[in-house]
Amino acid sequence: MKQYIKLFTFTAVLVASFALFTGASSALTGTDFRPGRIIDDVIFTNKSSMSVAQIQQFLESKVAGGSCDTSGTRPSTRWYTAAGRYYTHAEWGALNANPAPFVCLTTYKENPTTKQTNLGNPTLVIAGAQTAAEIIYNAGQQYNINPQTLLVLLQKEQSLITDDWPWLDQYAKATGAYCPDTAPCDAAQAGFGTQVREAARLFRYYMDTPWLYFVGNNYVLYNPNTACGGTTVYIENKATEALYHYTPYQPNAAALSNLYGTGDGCSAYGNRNFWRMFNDWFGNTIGPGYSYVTAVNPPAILYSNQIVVASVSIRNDTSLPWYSDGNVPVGEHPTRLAMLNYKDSPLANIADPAWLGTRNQIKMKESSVGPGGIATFEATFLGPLVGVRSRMEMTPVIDGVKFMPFIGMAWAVETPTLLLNYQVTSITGLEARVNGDAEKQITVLVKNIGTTYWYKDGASPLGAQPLRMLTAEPFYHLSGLATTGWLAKNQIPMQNNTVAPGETATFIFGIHTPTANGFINEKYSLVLDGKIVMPLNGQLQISSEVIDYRAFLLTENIPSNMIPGKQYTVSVSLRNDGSSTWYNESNVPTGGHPFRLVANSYAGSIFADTSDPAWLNTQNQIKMKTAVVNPGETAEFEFRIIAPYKRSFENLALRPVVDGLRVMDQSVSKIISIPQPIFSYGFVDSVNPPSIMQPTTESTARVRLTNVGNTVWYNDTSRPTSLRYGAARLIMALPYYRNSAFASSSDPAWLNTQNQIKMKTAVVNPGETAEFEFIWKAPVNAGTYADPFSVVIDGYVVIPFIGLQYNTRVQ
Amino acid sequence: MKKNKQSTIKKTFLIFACLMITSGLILAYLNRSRVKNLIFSDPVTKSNSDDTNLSDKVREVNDVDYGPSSPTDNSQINDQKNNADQANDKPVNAGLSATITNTRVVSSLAQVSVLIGGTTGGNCLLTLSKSGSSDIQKTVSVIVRNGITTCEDFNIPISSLSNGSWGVRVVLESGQTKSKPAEGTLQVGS
Repeated sequence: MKQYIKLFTFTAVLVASFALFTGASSALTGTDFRPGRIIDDVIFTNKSSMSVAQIQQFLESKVAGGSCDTSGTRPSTRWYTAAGRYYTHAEWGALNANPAPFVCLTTYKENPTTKQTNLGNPTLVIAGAQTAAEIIYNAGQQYNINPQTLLVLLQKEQSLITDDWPWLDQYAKATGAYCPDTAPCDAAQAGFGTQVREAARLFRYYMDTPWLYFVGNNYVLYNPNTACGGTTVYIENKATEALYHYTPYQPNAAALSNLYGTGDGCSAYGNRNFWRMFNDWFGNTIGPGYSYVTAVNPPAILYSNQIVVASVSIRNDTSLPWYSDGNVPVGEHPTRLAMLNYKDSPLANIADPAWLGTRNQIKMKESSVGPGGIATFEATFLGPLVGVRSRMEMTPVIDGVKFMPFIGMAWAVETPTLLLNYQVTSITGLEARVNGDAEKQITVLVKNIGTTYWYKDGASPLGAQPLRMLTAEPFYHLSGLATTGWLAKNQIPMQNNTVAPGETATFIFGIHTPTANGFINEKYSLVLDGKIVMPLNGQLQISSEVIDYRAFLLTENIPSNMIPGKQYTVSVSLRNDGSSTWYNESNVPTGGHPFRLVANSYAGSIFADTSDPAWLNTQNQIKMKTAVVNPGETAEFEFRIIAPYKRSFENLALRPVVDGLRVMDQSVSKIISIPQPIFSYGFVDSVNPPSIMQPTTESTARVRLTNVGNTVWYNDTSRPTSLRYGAARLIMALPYYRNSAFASSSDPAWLNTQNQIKMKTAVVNPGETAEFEFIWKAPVNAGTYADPFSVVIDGYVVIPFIGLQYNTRVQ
Repeated sequence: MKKNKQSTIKKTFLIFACLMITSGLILAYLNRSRVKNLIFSDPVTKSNSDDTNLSDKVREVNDVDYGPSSPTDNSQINDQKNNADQANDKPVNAGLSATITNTRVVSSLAQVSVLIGGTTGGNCLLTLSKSGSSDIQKTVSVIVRNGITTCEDFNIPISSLSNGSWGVRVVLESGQTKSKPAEGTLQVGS
């Protein structure tokens, strides 16, 4: 059985604790009465507390017996000795000039202009009449007084709210307005409507224009009998001030110790009853001193290192001004927003001066906020670097004086478990192989896949830490590559102002590649500066191979002016200023790359003399002559170029190339001018055949001509293949390409076409003499023959006939 | 058999206890979880009575009781009605009285608030005295101001008062009678 008792006791305690926890409001006691703060201004003047319908509902709920005893049939509390029973309401009312029917506030009507009422005639229809509820409501609206204040006043003065058989006199002095304690009531102010309106007006007047009592210290009597004494009361607000104007007495201890009864001969009950009835019917007369207006809430999820601004605005419902820190007059105290019981908030950003410096109080933004004014408490919150669930319950505090009651203002914010993850999206700007001693700009995109919030240097709010890339292995080592965009050569700031989880950050920085060949491999991580270094994830690194090729042009002898058709053998000398060895075609190691000169963009050059094996057939690359060129040595390129039969002004641009690996920046650049080609000749001498020949007889002829143009002539054998045409020949003329009867098919000087004779001289520069030697063979048929001829540059031009001609008679 | 009966009782107790604990915890959780991220369902202030650790215990405001009235609510008025046949509507004259409720300096004027009892007419005689200074006297009429019997404003220019604490004395004269003097102090200057 003991077991059960224990179990039951535990259960009962639990249930009792729960009841306490859920908080049933405590019963009112006299010790709750505060003579200096009977009711708060905000409650006393809350004109919106009840609608007309609610007032009507309230009146109907409170009238004794549940309804008005209109006909007076209910018993009174006056004993009717003769009848051996209590008088009915009707009987006793009739005996005291208040016969039935009775009109309660639930059914009362009055025309506010004519003052006509339905008293004594409940069913009377009165044009323009208002109900008691309407009169009370309207008075409250007109003078900004809580209708509940007027309802309590009506009850405490004449019990009109609960009375189910009110008499006329109760209506006449319904609110006790203009009824001094020591003098009769002012008859001019009699009547329900007048009394209610005047009471509201007086309350407003007393609040706005006090003259007997003021906020501050006042002497308040206990009773009209001054011998009963009184005390100095510090009146805290205007509503209490107004109540003392209306009823200038405070309850004494006897009145308060018997809250629902009478005290002693020195007791006065007006303000006690007002306070008690208000509490009983409408709740606390003392508000929390403030009310919620608006807020800017923090997000439900606050990431680590994230800063947010949150604020709460509340109205000052007290009668005293609030002061912010730094603006407090002597003897006053600052008002702040405090965490309940000064419990520290893990999210407080104490770098923010809006916080007191502790984690539990936020300063008021305004320097001072008077009664009814709006105070704003704005501060930043910082997500900590640990996962935390925080519930911040807040209430204003008058520092050093008191906490104001908690009314439910709270923020619930969660910071997720700390994850420092990131994912590299891309790294651009650094090729797999790079030159040494080169500037590179690298762009790295990193996605935030953790739970931290990232800020840029300079854009990081107070208290948050900027996010940077930092060198790794070891962390914070000074990078030998660092150029632009770095901090102290070991950190790189983020470009974006903010990067939330799920977003991508950009880092841009420069590096200078090493001079020596080798590999670049630098690892990085991310750091919340001064707080925490994120672990390496193997993705954030730059890698490349440095292969250093650099050339310095020592000499070149490429002509600036070229004669059309002329071949030039030129040379270029480059010094190997890199750290790699250069090889020509014949000496390149297996897997290596030959070193050449290449025309810009690999385009074929018009100057390429591909009859020179130094040129590749592609007409765009020139082989190196030197077999192997070590760093510091000189490479020789020797090659032939040729001027085409074409007027031109061309740039011969050549760049060193490691074939298949690297085209270098250094280049040879030469502008070459070629004049308009002129083809012309002059007669020098000749050895002519006989003028009379026997049929089929032969004679050797020779003609010498001077090249008086500006072009170089080649014979069929010496003509460079890069000149597509251009062999100089004699051509039968008049007409050109006419076959000659004297052509010797056995003489190789003649073309098979029997109309052209090849030049004997291999190359004829301008001013030189060309020699043509050929067999002149008489035909079979007798006759007289004329054979004019000139010179042709094959494929280009036939030089005009200048009179050269053989006349031969065959007989 | 006896053992089985005991076992049944024990089980019943355990089930009951579990139910009570569970329901208590659920209700407590629901109650605690009312407060959201400063999102008030009703901007009107409501005290949060579940916070037992508050420095001020709060009773709710504007919580209208629509329940029926108490029978005692009409006791006072019923007593008045029962004795209506003996009632004397004239208020009791408690005798002449003057009570200083407040003294202050406002806008360069010294003000003394006086609550008058026992009359609605007569004069108020004010005497301000301070050691080393001549007494200052002023007489004003008794008036009824919005239902309150009081003295007219005295309005003593503080230029006529030296700094310091002045004794204040008010005597009510009505007809041939005088009230007991009411006394207080007035602070002039800091």
